Amino acid sequence: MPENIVSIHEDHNTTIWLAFKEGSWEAYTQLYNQNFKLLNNYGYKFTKDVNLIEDAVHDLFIKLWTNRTNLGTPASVKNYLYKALRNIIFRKMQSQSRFTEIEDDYPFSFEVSFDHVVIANEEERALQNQIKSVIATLPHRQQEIVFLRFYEGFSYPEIADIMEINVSSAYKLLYKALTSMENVLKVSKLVIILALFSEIRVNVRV
Amino acid sequence: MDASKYSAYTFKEFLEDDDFIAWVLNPTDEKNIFWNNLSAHFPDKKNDIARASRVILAYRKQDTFFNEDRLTDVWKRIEAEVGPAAKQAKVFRLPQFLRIAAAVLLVAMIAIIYRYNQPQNFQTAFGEIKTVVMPDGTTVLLNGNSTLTYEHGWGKNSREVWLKGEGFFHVIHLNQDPAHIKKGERFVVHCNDLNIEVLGTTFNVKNRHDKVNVGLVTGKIRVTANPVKKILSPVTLSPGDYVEYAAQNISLKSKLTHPEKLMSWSKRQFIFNNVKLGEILRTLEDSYGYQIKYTNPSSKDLEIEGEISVTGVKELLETISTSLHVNVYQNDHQITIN
Repeated sequence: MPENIVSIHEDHNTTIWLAFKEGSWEAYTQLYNQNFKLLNNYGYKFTKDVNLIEDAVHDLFIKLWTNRTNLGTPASVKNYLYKALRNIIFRKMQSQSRFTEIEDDYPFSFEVSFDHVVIANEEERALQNQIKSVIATLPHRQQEIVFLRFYEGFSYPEIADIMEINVSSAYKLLYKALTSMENVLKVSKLVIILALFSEIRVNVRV
Repeated sequence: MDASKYSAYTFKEFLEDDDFIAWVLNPTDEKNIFWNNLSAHFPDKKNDIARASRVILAYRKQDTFFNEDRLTDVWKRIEAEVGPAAKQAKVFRLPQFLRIAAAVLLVAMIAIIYRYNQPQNFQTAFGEIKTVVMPDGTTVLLNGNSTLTYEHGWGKNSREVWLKGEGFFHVIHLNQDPAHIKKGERFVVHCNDLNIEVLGTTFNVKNRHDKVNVGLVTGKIRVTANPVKKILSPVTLSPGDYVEYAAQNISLKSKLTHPEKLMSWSKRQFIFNNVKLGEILRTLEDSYGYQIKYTNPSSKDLEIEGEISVTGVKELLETISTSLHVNVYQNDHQITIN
């Protein structure tokens, strides 16, 4: 049986969710603090308009508090929050006429950059560049599913819920993305040896 | 976990595998042991496992936008809107089911109050004879096609009813001190603009075709009227008095020796005295809903001498036919006089 992939925050969320539903302001504050950064990060993939993202996060949390008595207890709170935020952001972007929905592609970007990461070795830098390049070639929905799967650690059902597609479509979508990535990411054995060599060199120096 | 399936896995298949990703994202001692063992067991998979692992880890080192420096400011907005301090501005909201219950209760209360304030209405169909008992014990026998109306809260300050059609009243006497008559002790029957005031009596009222006939059986009643543009003196009736109010005039028609015969209709008895055919058949129309047709209109004026007392419509029609030498055809609710 496949283990439900959970990211680090998951377990904390469920307990505070229950307390928040009961009306605990303290728990609600924690819910906000624990999810603010990730939600902003996710929102930034859709738009670089920080005001819009902040408004969306604000709206999400206002809705949560005012409706807390009517909320259920989702199996994954993070799943619930992401889906809700995504909807709010889409609506806001649509009302700003930022985009009209085009089949199979949206004008936002889940591209990755590694500008602020300090990389110790060349091999990893090379791999990052490869990842960056291949992601950039993917359609936006494939980009998003890669992000939700590998960065956020959502399961296929959770992804399907967030992206509002069915589970089999989620499998197919990720499969397509991975096929593209596989072709580009073939690392030759030579590079691995070089990598190992450079690691040894580093160790020796230290 | 079934390890054997991994023996044939490709690089891509590792990337698709839930358990593999769970390990890379969340390595635990248990998982580390499993995957290291797997690598040892299937050495040709070692590279793929390593590569897949590196790809995922590298991907996860991407630039982020956590917007941390805005965390407090956005929170302040939220707190201002729904926080504990904001409670004064908030409208108190009941949980959903209570709000619905309150709304239902409000509607129910309005309905009850509305119905309570609505006048009480008793109506008889053609040919139906019904007894209405008032809250004070007064009984009203209602003839067919008649309506008795009174207001809610009846009997507290007044006993007033409105009558259309025909009714025989037996009014309960409430008054103790004749020198001081309280409001609720008077019983008043309204027929359009005619008022019949009683204290406790038995009498018959017929209100049909803009004519009201009142016949007193026992007790004492006072008849007043409020026609437009006229002031009428009240008329006091004694037992046996039979008055008619028509064309804004109260006139004493006769003194009945047996006024109780006025209520004979309640037993479906027809008692008529020196009456014209038209009047007899009019009664059948009013209270029983019959349709009367005369082949010769002058037949209406044919008069029956003396008193007739019959029970039931059939007997009445037979008597008419015999006494007046006319042909009476009855077809369901249609009566034709020939």
